Amino acid sequence: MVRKAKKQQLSGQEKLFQATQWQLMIRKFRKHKLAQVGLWVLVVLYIIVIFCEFFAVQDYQSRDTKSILQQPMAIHMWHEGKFIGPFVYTYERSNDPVTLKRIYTEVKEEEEIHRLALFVQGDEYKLWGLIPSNIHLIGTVDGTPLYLFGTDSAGRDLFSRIMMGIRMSLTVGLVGVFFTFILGCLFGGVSGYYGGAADMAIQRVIEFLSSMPSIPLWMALAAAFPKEWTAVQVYFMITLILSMIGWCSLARTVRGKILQMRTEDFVMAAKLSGASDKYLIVRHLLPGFSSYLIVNVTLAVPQMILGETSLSFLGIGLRSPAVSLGVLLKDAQNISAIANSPWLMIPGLFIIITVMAFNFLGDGMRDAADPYK
Amino acid sequence: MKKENILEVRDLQTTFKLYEGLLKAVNHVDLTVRTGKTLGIIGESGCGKSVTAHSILNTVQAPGKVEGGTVMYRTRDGKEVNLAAEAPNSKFMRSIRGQEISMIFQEPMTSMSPVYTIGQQMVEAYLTHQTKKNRAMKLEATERAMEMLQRVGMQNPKQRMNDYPHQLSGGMCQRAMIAMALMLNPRVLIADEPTTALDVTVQAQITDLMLELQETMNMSIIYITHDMGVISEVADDICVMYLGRVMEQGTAEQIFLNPTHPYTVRLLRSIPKLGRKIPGARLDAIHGNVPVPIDPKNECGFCSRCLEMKPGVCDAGVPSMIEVEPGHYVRCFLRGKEGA
Amino acid sequence: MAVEKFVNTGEVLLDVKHLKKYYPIEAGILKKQIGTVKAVDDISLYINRNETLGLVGESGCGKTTLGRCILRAIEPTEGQVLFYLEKDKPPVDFLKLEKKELQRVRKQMALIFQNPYSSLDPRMTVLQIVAEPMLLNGMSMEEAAPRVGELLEMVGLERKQMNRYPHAFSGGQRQRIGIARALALNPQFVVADEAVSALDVSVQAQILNLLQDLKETLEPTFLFIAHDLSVIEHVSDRVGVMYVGHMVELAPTEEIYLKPRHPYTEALLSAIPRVDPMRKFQRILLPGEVANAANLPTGCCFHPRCKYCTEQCKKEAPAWQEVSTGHYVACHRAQELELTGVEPEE
Repeated sequence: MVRKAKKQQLSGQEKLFQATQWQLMIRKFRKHKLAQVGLWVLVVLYIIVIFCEFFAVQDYQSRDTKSILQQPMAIHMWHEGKFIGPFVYTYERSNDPVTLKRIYTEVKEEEEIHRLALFVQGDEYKLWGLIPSNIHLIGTVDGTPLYLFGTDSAGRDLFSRIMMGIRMSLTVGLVGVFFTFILGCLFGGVSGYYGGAADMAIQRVIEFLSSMPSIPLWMALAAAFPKEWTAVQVYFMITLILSMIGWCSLARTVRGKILQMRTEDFVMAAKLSGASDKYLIVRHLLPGFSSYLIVNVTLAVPQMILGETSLSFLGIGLRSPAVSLGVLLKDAQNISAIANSPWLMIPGLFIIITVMAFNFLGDGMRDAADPYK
Repeated sequence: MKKENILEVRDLQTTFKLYEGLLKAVNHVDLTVRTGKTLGIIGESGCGKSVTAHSILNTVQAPGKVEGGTVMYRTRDGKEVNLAAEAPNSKFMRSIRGQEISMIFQEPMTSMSPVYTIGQQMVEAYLTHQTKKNRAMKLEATERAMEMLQRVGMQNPKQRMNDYPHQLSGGMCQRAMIAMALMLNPRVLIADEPTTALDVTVQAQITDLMLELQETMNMSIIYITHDMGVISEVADDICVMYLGRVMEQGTAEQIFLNPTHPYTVRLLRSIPKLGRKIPGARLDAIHGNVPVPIDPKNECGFCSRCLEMKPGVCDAGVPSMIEVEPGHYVRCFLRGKEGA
Repeated sequence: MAVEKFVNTGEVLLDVKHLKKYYPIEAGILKKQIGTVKAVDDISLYINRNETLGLVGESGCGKTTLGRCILRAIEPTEGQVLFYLEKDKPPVDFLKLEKKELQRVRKQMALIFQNPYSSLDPRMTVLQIVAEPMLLNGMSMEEAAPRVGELLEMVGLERKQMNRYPHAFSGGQRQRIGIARALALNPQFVVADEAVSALDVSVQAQILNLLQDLKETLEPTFLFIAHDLSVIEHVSDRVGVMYVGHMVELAPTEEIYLKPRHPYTEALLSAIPRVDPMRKFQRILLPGEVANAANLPTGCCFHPRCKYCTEQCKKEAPAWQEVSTGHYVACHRAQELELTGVEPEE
């Protein structure tokens, strides 16, 4: 309390003088508008990741054979000029007499109106596998299926599947980056701080790894997964594969930064005062480049997401029944699917939004990373 | 514009819009360069001396902007033009740079391209100002480059032409830089701390070289430095800048023998006297630090560090330039008629 | 020799003997050594207690390397640094100390850096920066904090500024913080490596005055390294002049400035720009360029640029000799040449 009161007495100028590195970085970050947009988009996306069952309209695996490849439902407000509030009509299925294509049409009658509401009860789920619940953010009051983004070829609700896919894709990125981070810091740190033979060896390994063509390598590794592995095991292995290659560039950054900082005068000053290697690393080097690390990591997440998406899209990553944005996009692989059911490409839109948000955020953070310039 | 002057800067203002506020790097500056003479601009870091040079050439980088004032220049054919009124990237301005007014910088290594040889860069500098770019022109340019390298005292110019900047020492590189700046026979040379990065013995060589070239080529020089010793050796006229303003202006004799502004006086006293070692003697240092000219207050810029500061006078407005003797101007409330 | 004389009276603090620092030049994958850069080549000097020894020379002459070798911030290749920790007691050879002993002795030594920006960790407060040497040598933060306040006041800053970060200070103030850190453990020997070179003229004078005040109150011994000859003259009791890794002349300040005995010193002095527009000073312009430390000329390393050069100079390296009391020169013709020093300023 006392400390807090003291802080408040400081003038604006003095506050700036006593601002820590992170406070200065936040000041600088605030000036970058696009990065803030990216940050908020990501906040929303990660809230979805955490509560995706709640955001989903229904169980992402339940099939509705009566609504295969149905287009997204239109949400109406007025029925015959009368205001009702958000609702959808029942869709009726028929076949085109010439092409034999399935056609879904709205039945615009009073009794076929299904009102929409927030926090409705629907399919049962267990939040994080623990808390049983049946509350969904949005749904029809009477429990008829709601297909906001249409359905796929098995009659599953695409919106609910996208919510699940976001969870998978966005966490693959994080977990993958976590491994990258550990490997990159470890090898980069050893390489930069100790130099000599270790440095030589690590640099050659990095050169070897980065010169390997990544897609064939992934394919080879993915082909080696036993068929009986569960989705979770495959998921884990994929993140591992992605980070096996991803750590190289981070290790190089860490090494370069350490080499640069080792020659700084303040490191020499501490050394002359009798500082040990461990002290120098923990006290001067790590704080010095942690901001750069975070930027690097932020910019590495979208790489991971794209990596997972490409693998899954090629059919060598996650497999059904696991759901990721890449797996979902796999349905939009052929031209007839795109021509007849363009809504199957909606998962791609989410990938673009996610990757762009990460890139904007990383951009802003890079500008803020060195507040002393 | 007076007849004997080649360049007259009047009321020049250059500002930088920064996040922290408006930085008035050059604040109503007047300068006069006499034909064939050297004007020395002296000041500490952040006083606006380099920005002044860039403002004259209209090469101030964003977020900086020349906000007002005139830069009158007398061209080769006797016309008087206002450089500040021209667009920075206009064809006319480009023809002025290099051909009429040339510039050399503090770091010779970084102001030359590392991927081209000295010769290539010099020929290129020559050719950009020619209408025709044929073989004969190129030959002429090469010849001229060799001649210039010879003139700046580089031995074996033919071989030096094929060297890259990093193959030369700092002093040699600065010589090459000067040779390049003089390729087109400019009439004004702006030298921005040309010897600061060099060792004393090399510095002596370079300043001597510049004075010699000035004599043979009848060039006018604007010499920017923070070193009192260097300026006293090269300058005919001196202009002392502080916090974006000219504080004192006059001939070298006037400034050094009769320094009048408290800042000039104290600055001269704060450097150790050579050959007069008194053990334990203290320097007469100016207390405090150079303020940052962001949103400057309406007061004399030096008043926070001035020993003679009169409250209610010095911090109540910006003093104007007063002529204390013919050609010797001082910006101080306490000097000349106003102070008496 | 003179060194012995000083040892007997207990005045010498540091006695540097035949200090060498060679860097191998390696080439190829196998790192075959193809040459040697002699950054510091066989330098001997002594520094008396409470004096300031100035070290001057042009960039690349090895003055910074010499300063750092004495502190073992860089490990020298060969030589001895005898450190007389206490008066009338035998010295320790600083270069031979093992880790633990080294730490104990090094508390008596400190380094002031040239660049006030890179010498302070921007992520630490002034308190943390100045307290660091004390914390590393077994003090607690409670003990160190009041001492930091004292130190800050001593170097002309305010106690209440200790929670600020370096970005809140100007170059001159940062240099004051660096000096406070160097003095934190009350060292006997301080190396000031171009401590005022990066500062503005008006601030430079403040720092020089501060160092002088500190010298009078704390009585440390300074090795003051700079390239500015007028600054060196102002602060030093004795001055050593270096040229490509060699010490060419070392003498009391007044003597070396007014009556130099080495042609290089003479040229260096004549090149100082003088604040006097009325007088024209005669300058000695050195021909050619500074010798390459990887490929030194035979004989005296200065002979290709020396106007007094003889056949002997081209063949034999001159010995380091004492020409008059306390005046050392490495020149064959030191006794016969009449060289000019600086003309005193008004």
